[in-house]
Amino acid sequence: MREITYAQAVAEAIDEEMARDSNVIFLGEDVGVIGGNFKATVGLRAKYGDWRVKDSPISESGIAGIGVGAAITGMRPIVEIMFSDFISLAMDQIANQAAKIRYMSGGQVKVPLTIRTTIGGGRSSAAQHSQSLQAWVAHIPGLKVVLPSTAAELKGLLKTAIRDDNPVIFMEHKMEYNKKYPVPEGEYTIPFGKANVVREGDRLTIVATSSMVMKSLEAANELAKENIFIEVIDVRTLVPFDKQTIIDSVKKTGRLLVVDEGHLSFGVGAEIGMKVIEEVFYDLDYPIMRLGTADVVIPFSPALEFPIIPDAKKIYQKAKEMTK
Amino acid sequence: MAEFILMPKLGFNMETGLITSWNKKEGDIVQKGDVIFEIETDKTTMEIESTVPGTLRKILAEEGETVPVVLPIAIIGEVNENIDSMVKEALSQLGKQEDSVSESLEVSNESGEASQEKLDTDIAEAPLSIDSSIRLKLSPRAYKYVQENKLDISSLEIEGTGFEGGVTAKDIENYVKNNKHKLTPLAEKIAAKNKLDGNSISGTGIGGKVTKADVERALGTTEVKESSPAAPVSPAATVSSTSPAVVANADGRKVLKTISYTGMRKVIGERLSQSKFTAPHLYFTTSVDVSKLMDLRKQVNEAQEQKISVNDFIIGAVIKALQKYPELNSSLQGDQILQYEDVNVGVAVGLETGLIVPVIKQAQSKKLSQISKESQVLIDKARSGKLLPDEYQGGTFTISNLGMFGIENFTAIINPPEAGILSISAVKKTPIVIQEDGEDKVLIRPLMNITLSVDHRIIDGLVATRFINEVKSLIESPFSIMI
Amino acid sequence: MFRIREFEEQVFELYKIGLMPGLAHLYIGEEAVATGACAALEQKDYIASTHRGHGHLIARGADTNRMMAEILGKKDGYNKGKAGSMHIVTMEKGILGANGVVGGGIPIATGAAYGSKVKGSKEVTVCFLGDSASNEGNFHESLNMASAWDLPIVYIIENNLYGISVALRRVTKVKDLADRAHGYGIKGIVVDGNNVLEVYKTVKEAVEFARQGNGPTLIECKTYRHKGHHVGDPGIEYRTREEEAEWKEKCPLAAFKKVLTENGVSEDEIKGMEQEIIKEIAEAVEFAKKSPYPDPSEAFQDIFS
Repeated sequence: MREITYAQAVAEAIDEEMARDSNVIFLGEDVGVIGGNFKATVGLRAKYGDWRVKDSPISESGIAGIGVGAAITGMRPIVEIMFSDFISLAMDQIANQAAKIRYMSGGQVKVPLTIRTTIGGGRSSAAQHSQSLQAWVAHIPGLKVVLPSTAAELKGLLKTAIRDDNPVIFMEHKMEYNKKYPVPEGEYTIPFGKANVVREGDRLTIVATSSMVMKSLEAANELAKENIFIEVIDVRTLVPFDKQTIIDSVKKTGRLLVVDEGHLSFGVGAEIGMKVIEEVFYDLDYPIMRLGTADVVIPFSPALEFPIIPDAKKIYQKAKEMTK
Repeated sequence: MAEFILMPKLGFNMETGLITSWNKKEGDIVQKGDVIFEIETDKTTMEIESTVPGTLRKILAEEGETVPVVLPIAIIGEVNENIDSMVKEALSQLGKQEDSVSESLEVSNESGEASQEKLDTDIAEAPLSIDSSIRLKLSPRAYKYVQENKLDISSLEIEGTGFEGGVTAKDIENYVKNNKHKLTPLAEKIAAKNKLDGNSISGTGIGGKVTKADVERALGTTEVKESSPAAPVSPAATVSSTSPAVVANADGRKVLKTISYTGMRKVIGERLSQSKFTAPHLYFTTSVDVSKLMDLRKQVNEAQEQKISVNDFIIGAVIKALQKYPELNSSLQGDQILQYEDVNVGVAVGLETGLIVPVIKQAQSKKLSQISKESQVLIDKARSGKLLPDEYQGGTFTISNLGMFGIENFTAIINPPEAGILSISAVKKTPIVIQEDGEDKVLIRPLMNITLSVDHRIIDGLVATRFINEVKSLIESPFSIMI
Repeated sequence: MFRIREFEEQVFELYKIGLMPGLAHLYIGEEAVATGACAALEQKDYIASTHRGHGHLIARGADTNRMMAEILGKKDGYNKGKAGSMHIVTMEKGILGANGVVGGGIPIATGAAYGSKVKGSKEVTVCFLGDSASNEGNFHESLNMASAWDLPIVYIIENNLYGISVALRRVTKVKDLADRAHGYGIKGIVVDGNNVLEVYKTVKEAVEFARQGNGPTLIECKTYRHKGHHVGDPGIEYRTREEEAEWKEKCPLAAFKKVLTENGVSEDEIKGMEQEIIKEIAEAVEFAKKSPYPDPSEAFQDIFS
C-alpha cells in the first residue's frame, strides 16, 4: 500500500470532498496561502480559490461563527482552529451555538460543520499550545467528536465528518502530521461510532484515542514477546461512542485500561470506564485503570513535559502490572 | 487477665488454618495443656493445647472456619472478667461484624461521655477493620465465577495474582482444577478408617473438596448440619453415591474409578519427577550381613525395656557414615553445594494416601536409644496424619526401608534437594561361599541388600562406594553404631 | 407594529397568570426598528435576531400562533417547545434564530452572509443586535471580517440605552455606537429608532448597497424599551419615571398613527385593523393554550440529524 503522511491525508480528504461538493468551504488561520500551520492543507487554495479556501483573521469565535452561519444556510464549511487550546476563544460558537441550534430549532435546522483542531503535547509548545481538550467538547450534547489515529484513519474519518450533517469536532494529533502511514488508494470513508479492534488479545483490553493507539500498539507488541497478548481498541469517535465493542472485549479479557492524552481528572478515561462498568462489572478481574496526562499545566521543558504525558513505556508498564 | 488464643503458625508456609473441631465450649474450665481445638492444614491435622489456664470465655472462630495464622480465635480468662474490648479488637482483626456493639458499650462504659468517645474511635477505625477483613479479595469476575459454579469460598486458601493480591477468576479456576474431589487430610483419615471411598463423597468445600463433615455426613455419624446454600448436599444422595458406576471410556476400556491426580499425590509426583529428571541418579547396591546386628539387637532388647528395631540400627549406621562422608549430607543449591553440619535423617513412611518423610533432626548428637524413641513417635504421628510441618521438613538424607514387605531389591528416587537416599530391602537367609582355612565353605547368613542412589551431579562413584561400604561395615560391626 | 405590541402585551398577560414558563424579553417600544428593517428585505434574505426577538419574527412574517405556542412550551410551537422565547428559529422565514447569548448571533449572521458571497446568491442578511452586544468581542471579529471581505450584511444596533440595568453611558465612551463603523472602514448611520419610515429608508439603502457587493453598513437605531429587561423586571431601580414618560411620549406606534392620519387614513380604518389584530392575537393565545405539551420522550430527539 502507498504511504502518505498524516498531513497529506488531511489535504487529500478535504480535496476530495471539495471536488465532490461545491458547498464545501474551508476557513481558518493560515490555511490558504501557506497551506496551514502544520502544512496539512497545502495546495487547496490554489485549486479551489480564495473564497472556498479562506485565510481568516485571528478571530477564533468569528470564524467558528461564520462556520455555523454558513452551515445553517446551506454550505458545508470546514473551520480550522489551529490549536485545541484556542477553542476556548470560540467556545460560545461551538458549545452554545453549533451544538444547540438543531435542537433548539426542533430539528428544523442542520449544522453540517466540521471544526478541525489539533491536540497533543510533545513538541515543547508549553501550556497554551499542547492541551488535548477532547473532554471539553465531548461533554456538550450536540457535538460529534473524532480522534483519528493513523493517516488512513484520518482520511476516512475526515471525509465522513465533512459529509455529516452535524457539527463535528475533528481533533488531529500535532505530533503525527509528518509521520507516514499506509493509506488505501481511492475513495473510502470510515463510519462514526464504530470502534476499531486494531490488535486482538486475551489478557487486557487497552482502549486508546488518537496517537495513544499507536503507543498502545507499541506496548502491546513488546508484551506479545513475553506471551502477554493485549487487545488494543481504537475508539475513533468519542461521540458517537461505540460501547459494545469495548464491552465485548472486556468480557473476554476481564481487564480494561483506557489511554487518552487529555488530563486525567474528569477525563475520557474516567468516562469510558464508567460507560462500560455497568455492563462488565462481573467480568472484571482488575479495577479499570486509566492513563492520561498528569493534572498539571503542561510544562515547556522536555525534561518536564515528557514525564507527564503517557507514552509506550508507561503503557507497557501499566499493562504489565495489570496482567502479572 | 484474659488472653487470646491464636491460630498457631505451624510452618513457614502456613498462612491459614482450618478449625476442624472445638473440644471445649464457651464457659468450660480449661487447664494449661488441655486440648481445646483441632486444626487442619494442607499437610496435617493438629490438636492445639491451651497455653493458659482459665475459662474459655469466647470462641471467635467456629468449626469449619479458616483463619489466618496468628489471629485470635478464642479468649481465655477469668469468669467475671470484662472481655468486651478484647472481643471487639479480635473481631476487628478477623474482619467480623460485632453483633452486640451497643450492648457491650453499655457494659463497658460508665459515662455517656466515654461512650461517645468510644463511638468516635469506632468510626475512625471502621475503614481499617473493613480493610483487614478482606481475607479474600475477589475480583468481580471471580465473584461471578463463584456464583455461577455455586462454590463455597469460606474455606478458600488461595493466593491471588490480581490487583493488590486479589483473587481473579483464573486463580479460582486453577484452584478448583487442582483440588477437585480432594479430601482434606482429616476427612481422608476418617474415610479410610471406615473403609469409605472418599472420592465418592460429595464435597461441600471449595471446588467440591470433601471435608470431615462431609465424610461424617456420609457415614451418618453426625447430625446433618444446615447445609451451605452454595452447595446443598442431600445425605441420601451422598450415601447412594458411594458405589461408583462402572463406565466405559472413550477408547472402550472400562473405567472402574477415576481418581484425581491432585493434592498430596500431585505434590509427591511432581517432586519425584523433578528429582529424577534433574538429578542424574547413580546406583550402588551391596549386600550386608546382619547376623551380628541381629545378635546385638537381641542382647540389647533383652537388657532394656525399650526395644530397638533393625531399622533403628540402620539409621544409626547411616548417621555415622554421613558424619564421616559429609559429601552425602549435602544439597545442590543453585551454583553452590552446601554440606550440612547437622545430620537430619528422614525416614520414608508409606501411607495409604501417599508418602511422607518425617525427619530426625540433629541426629549426630543423639544416642541410638533416643533415635529409636524419636523415630517411633514420628512414624506413628505420620501414620495418623498428625505430623507438624516442622517434623517433615529440613531433612538432609533419607532412608527408605521396604524390608518388612519382603522386597529383595529396589532403587529409591532421591528426595530433593538431598544428595542421596538409601534403600533397605528385606533380610533374607542366603547361602554364601566363604573361605576358611584355604577351603571354600557354604554358609547360611542373613543378608540384606542396600542400594544407595546418589545425585551424580555432586557425588561421584568413589565417594558413593566409600559411603555405602562404610554403612555396610558399620552394620556388620554393630557395636560401633552404639558407641 | 401594532401586531408586535399586542403580541407582547398578551405574552406579558400570560406570564402574569403563570401560563408562560421561564421569561420573555418584551419588544414594546422598539417596534419601529424591526418593522422598518424587515420591510426593506426580500423573501430570500436572512435576519439574525436577539434574545429580545419576538418583534423581529413578527415583522418578518412569522406565524403568531406558532410563536405563541412556542413561548408557552407547546408541541405546536415553531420548535416543538424546545426553544421558548429566546431561541425561536424558523428557516422558512429566513430567520437564523433568536439568540440567548448576547452577541452570539453576530458571527452566525456574518457566516450566512459569507455563504451568500461564496454562492453569489445575492441574499442580504440583517443582523439585529442590542447596544450591549456591540461591546462583545464577537461584534468586533464579525464586523472586521464582514468589512474586509465586503460581505452582504447590515448590522442594526437597537440602542435602547440599557444593558439589563446598566446604562450604556456608564460603560461606553462613544455617544453614538454607529461611530464604531469607522474602525472597520464602513459607513455608520444613526437613525431615530422610533420612526419606522426613517428606519425603513435607511435600511433599504444599506441592503441595496450590500446586495450590490459593496459590503456591510452599521446602523444604530436609538430607541427605548417601555418595560423592564424582561417580564419579571419592573425596571424601576435604574431608570427614572421622567425618562420613561419622555420616551413613551415618543412611542413609535403613536408617531406612525399620526403619519397615517395625516396621510388620509381614517381613525376608523386604523381601529378596524387594530381590532383584527387583537382578534388574531387572542386566537394565537387560544391556539397556544390548546396545543398539547410535547411528550417527555421528545427531549431525546433532534440532537443530531
